[in-house]
Amino acid sequence: MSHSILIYANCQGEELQMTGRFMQCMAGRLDFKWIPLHLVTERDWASTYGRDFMSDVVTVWEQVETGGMSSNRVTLHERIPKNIPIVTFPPFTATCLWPFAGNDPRVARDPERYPWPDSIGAVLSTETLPDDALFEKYLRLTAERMPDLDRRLRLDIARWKAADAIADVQLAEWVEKTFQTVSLFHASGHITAQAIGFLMKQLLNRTSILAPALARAAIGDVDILLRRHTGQDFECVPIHPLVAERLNLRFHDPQATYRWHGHQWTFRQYILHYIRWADYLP
Amino acid sequence: MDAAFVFGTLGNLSAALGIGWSSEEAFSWAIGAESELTLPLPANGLATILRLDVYPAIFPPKVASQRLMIRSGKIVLGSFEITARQTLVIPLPAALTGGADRLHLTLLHPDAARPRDHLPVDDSRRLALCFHSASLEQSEPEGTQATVSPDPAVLEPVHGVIAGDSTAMRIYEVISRLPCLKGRFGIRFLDLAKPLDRAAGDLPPETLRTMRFCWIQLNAGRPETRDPLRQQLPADCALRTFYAPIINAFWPFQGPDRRAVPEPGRHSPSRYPYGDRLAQPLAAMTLPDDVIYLMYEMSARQEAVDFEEIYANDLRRWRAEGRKSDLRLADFIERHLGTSRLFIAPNRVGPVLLREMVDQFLDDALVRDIATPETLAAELDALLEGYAGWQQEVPIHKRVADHFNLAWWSPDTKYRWENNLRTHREHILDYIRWAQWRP
Repeated sequence: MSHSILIYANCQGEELQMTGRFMQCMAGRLDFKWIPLHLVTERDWASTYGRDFMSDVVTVWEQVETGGMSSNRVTLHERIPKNIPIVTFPPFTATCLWPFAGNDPRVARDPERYPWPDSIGAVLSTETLPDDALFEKYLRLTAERMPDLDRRLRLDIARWKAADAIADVQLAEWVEKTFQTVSLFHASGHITAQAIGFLMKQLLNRTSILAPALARAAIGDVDILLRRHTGQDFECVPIHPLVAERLNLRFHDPQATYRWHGHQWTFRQYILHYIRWADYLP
Repeated sequence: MDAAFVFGTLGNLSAALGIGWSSEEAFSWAIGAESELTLPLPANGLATILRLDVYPAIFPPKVASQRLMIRSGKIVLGSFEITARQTLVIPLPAALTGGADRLHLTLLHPDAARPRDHLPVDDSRRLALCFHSASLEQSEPEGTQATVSPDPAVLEPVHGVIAGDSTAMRIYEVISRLPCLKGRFGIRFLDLAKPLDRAAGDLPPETLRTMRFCWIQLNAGRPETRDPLRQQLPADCALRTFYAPIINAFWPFQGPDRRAVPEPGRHSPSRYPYGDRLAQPLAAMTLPDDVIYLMYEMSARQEAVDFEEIYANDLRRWRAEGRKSDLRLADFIERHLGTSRLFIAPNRVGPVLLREMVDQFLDDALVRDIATPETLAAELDALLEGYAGWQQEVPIHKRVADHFNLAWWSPDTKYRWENNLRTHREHILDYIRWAQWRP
């Protein structure tokens, strides 16, 4: 193995890397490496991502961020070999699907247990009501305080377009056209196999070092690898039924269960576990 | 936590904010030089800690930090210089909280800055700190605190190990999370696939020398790892043994597959670790899905399988294992075979059977001294709600489901393998074609 594609991205980059590494047509030809832009530290740059790491990189897939260039990105650009192709792509995000994502004082002290905060769940966390009454109260409060979802969607679309504007790969139009019929997000920044597949194919199509036949074979492999795949579903945050109704999410099934680590929970079960900050199994 | 507060218009603090705030949906900015905040208190006189989750308005290099002083009346509760998102911890003096039902706070933030002076944005507010959430936590009066053991290296008064394979690990994962046992009854997993000295290295020091119980899985690891463990049990250590039950009756078409080899960096032990002797001969055929699946189904229908004989062998083995160990599972399996999903793979118990194993382990004098059966049952019910178990489920054929009258089975049942979901049909077709997949 002497050539690599380097992916510089958030956790969505790990999905691209895994898909790439399992593609039959790339075995022995091309490896996929990932630098997690949200986790990388100065020590990582010093110890892991040095000259040796970069020496076989022949293309970079770089996830863009709006709002200026971070010091990590500057370091990346200093280190990647000169004159290699860079394909930029936007991150997938959706805030309108989880309008109560916000703050919970428990997250600061225990960031791992439920890392996707729910403001109303936090407000109810000190209640001592039985399950039915607590869930009823959650539904009532969320219905009363439901923000303007059309505005939230417009903001998301504006963000998607802003990210597209500084990237080679475009996602905004596809996400806007697709998100109501196909589930694309398990949480605001975690995506399904459909989203991974779409992005991976766009990137492969724009990777000039790949011969056309190899790119076509790779795209075929992506379809096979992801056709039964569930994406980043180890932490699925269920969508509020009222959000599904107002945003016309046609894929939404109110009876569906959602994976949360070793469990499959309904929306109600998830919310009650969240409010109670209940332990669960891996 | 005794009170949780969330800033922003979606939160519960709108009425608590006085002068000097600008709220958006998910947070509130402290603006100008001073802000006022009034928090409700429990009015019980207990020592209270206030935590505030804040983010500073910084515009380097000119505004690199935000200073904050928090005062209640003339009492200064804390002074901070904040450069990044941070949780401020503020102990509240008893003189302030004793008998009071609310706490008036003045926040002084002299470094507020206008974003438009530093960025190309049209925001003229003088922003200081963005407040996300707050909490109040009270400590119980001395002597009434629950004993907890937050440090995993600290051994509990009653502690021991469960030694075995992944089934033992699951049992450990369940029991170690029960709140009523925390800090008082400690269980740790010892991996019998490793040499004892290496496996013991993963445990806190002194665990093996001082443990009060040791549960050993007899069909995991090898005698070379199990026997040394038995030999070094402390004198007062209670030994219990068990088998993780294995079932053949649900997967009668199992068989080796010569394609099943490790693929370094991809699949270990192999791409499809559970072989199917009826599907494998179809691998060489290049036929459409419907045709090839039909051929598989014909083979499966015509295959002479004595389900009762295979099941009788399973049952005999479970009974024999029950006699040789301390867990009796055969009767439970026999009673629930059709109604509950007891197995998800030949060597993987389902959540219901795992619960039965946990229940039998916890029916132990060492545990009864610590927690009542009712408390344990309630905590197990809560912890195991919706539990699905391993992410490695092997699909079950319709003939099996019909024969054993499996109530939970349907042709559309999706089986999870790592991050993939497949019906039985999809699994068989993928297996025949040795289709690539990714975790």
